[in-house]
Amino acid sequence: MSVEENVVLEKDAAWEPRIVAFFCNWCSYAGADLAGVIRLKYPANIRIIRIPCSSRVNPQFILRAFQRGADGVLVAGCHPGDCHYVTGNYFTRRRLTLFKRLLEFVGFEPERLKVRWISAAEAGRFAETVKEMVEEIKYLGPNQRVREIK
Amino acid sequence: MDSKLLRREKLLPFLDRLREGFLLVAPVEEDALLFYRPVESVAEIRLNPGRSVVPPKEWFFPQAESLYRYNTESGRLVLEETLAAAPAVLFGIHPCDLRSFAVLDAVFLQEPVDRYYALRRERTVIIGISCSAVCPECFCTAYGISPVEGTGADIHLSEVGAVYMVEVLTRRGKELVARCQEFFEDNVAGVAEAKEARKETLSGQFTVQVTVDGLPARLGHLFDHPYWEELSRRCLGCGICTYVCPTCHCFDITDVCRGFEGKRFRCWDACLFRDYTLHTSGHNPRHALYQRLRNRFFHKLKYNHDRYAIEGCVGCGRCVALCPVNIDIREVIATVRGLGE
Amino acid sequence: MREMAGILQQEAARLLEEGVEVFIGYAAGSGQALARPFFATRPEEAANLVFNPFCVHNLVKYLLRYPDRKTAVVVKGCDGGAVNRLVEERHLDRAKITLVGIPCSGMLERERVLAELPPAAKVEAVEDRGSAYAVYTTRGEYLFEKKEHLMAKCLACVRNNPTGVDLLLGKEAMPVADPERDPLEGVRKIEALPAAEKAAFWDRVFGRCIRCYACREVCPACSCIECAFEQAVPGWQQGAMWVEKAKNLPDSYHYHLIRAFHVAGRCTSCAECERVCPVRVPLMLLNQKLAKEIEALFRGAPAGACGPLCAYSPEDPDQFS
Repeated sequence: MSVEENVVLEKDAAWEPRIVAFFCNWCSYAGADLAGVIRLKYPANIRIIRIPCSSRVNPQFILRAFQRGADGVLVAGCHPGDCHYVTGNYFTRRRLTLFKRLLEFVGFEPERLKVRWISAAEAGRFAETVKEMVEEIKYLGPNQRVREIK
Repeated sequence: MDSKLLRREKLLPFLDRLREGFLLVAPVEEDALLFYRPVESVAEIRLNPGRSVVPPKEWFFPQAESLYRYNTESGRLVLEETLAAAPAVLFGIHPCDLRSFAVLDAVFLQEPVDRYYALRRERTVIIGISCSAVCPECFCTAYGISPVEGTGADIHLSEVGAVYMVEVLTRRGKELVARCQEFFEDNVAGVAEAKEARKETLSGQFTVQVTVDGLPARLGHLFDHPYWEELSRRCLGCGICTYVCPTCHCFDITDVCRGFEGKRFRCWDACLFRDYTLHTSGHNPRHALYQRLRNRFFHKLKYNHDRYAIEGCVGCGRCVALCPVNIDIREVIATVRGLGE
Repeated sequence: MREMAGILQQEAARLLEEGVEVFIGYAAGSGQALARPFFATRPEEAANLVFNPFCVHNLVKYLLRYPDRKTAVVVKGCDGGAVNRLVEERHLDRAKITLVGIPCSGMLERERVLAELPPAAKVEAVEDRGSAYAVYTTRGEYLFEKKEHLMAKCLACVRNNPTGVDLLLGKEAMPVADPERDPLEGVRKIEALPAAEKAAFWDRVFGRCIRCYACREVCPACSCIECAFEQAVPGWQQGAMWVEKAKNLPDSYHYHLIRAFHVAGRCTSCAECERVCPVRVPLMLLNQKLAKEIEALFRGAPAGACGPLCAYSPEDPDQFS
């Protein structure tokens, strides 16, 4: 019953989505790096956090990102079978497939959490993924679910 | 003490009128549970409320309350006190909860005064309501509380047939009634008697007779008794009893920091939680659950009495109804009275 | 039911004489239609034991408080799975535990019973009449049709005769489940809602969570020695905590979603979390949803000692390519 001010952010022309990303060091981060090297254009809305393996992603990281103002979360890792740690991304796959369903069950739009396998050579795939996600989130508007009230 | 009448059909219009000057906080039903919440429309109000899940102490002592905010972005520390309380009317408070405000006052209004609590208390008008039924867990009469007396309210309503008898108990209550006098009529013969008769009917409905005489002194000898360990065997160590108790008032203070800005806030705490007396060294004087459970009963049944000369429990029965493992304070009281010297 | 209590008391007294140090069962509660967990440490105390349709508690988690003692615990069909979980995760030594299984004919939903009993009626005995329970009180006899008065979990129960126990008391119980009921009805209703309505529903139910943590304390799958939500850090480090101690909606979401996720695949559906909640957060919806998805996604695939989320298969469904 503490009177909480509900901050509902309106989608206006100036609003830009903020996407927090978790990229594994070996494949997907290298792919993002390559995109930079070959000067592929991709939206600046994405903030990438480098982790050793996509299986390092604790679902709590995802929730915390949304709580702190992220409009979307992207997790990228090596393709199954190619994980630098052999089996890490198999756990990621199970865990995040299930977690995505849980998030949708409580009212998150499915597009807000995206998981994709991006190899070190797939700079183009990286850029396409980011562009696609930014467009989808722009359409959906700012995230209201679990957003922290200051 | 003045008394008036309010016809039943005029209650909602009266409350609606109050919304013009006050935030109206009233009993609201959600999924068959009762909560005291600010209402946008009087249609939301549950007029004959039973017992709420969360007690109305929440209004004066919120579960989470910002104390001040800080900002260092400019290079200087800027502090902003978040001390604010809108003028409010708290409607539909039963006598047990009315007494609980006096218990909380003893704690928060002693020197130095807790300004956050005091401001809310000062800015809130309380409309009490007599009970129309006794729940199986209630035992307010053990503490000299009557289900039809409004001590602690500014005005107190008792439903008698097609009218409410309105007891105007404080100067603030008098001002409120004067401001809205078109809703009220003079009291007539027979109504007060009917209200007292209700008291008789209700006293027959209490399921367990509880006596608390001599309890604080008795407890003084029972600190090391094995009873507390036995009782704690089924206790889960959750916070239900504490959080639904109208007189429990322990709180924790901590900060939340977000880069250049943040706030200091306080929030409810429960002595049953593991970290309640956990020191930063890692030492915990109440590391065992039975020590924490014992602490809660001692505070409720003895320390409050010893420290503030007011009983810590008001017999509302919430903890009895909601404890998942049936730790029943009425049983604890009866057992303790039978133990020891 | 009186017969069962007699047998139970006898067996318990015997076990306590033969070396069991703590016998965990049920005793009569202090209110109408109420039982409570009971701990007997001496054979004479066994006389307090009861078993009736008010014995709703899952007693298994209490075993964690006596890891080095010889214990015995009464289990219904829905409770037993929790023991295996705790043994597999090495919290318990199975050799030290005597499981006393009691076939269950359904547990009554207390609220529904209280709605029909007059407040002054004291329950004296309960008789199982197959499709109903007859409750004998000081104010007369009341019949409770099981289809309308059992707990929701009982109406979907396929395991009311405990297995894997050391002692099985009493004769086999008839099936309790209501074949016309879809146990996942609640889950499907939510799934069918558009995102905005799902959000409104969960905002409402999580909004009233008071963070008493009863759900965590009662859950046998919540057995971490240091819980993710209770890390002992000094005040100035509290920013590093996953959720604030203060109640707020985003943190309540975080707590419930993650607790459900930590328990996913390990939950034994005893539904205690939902029973103990003072504000009726429909927690089993989360657990059932996760169980349903795990079944659909990973059925037949290997599960680890700590459940399906500790394992993987190269053939797991992949929607991320």
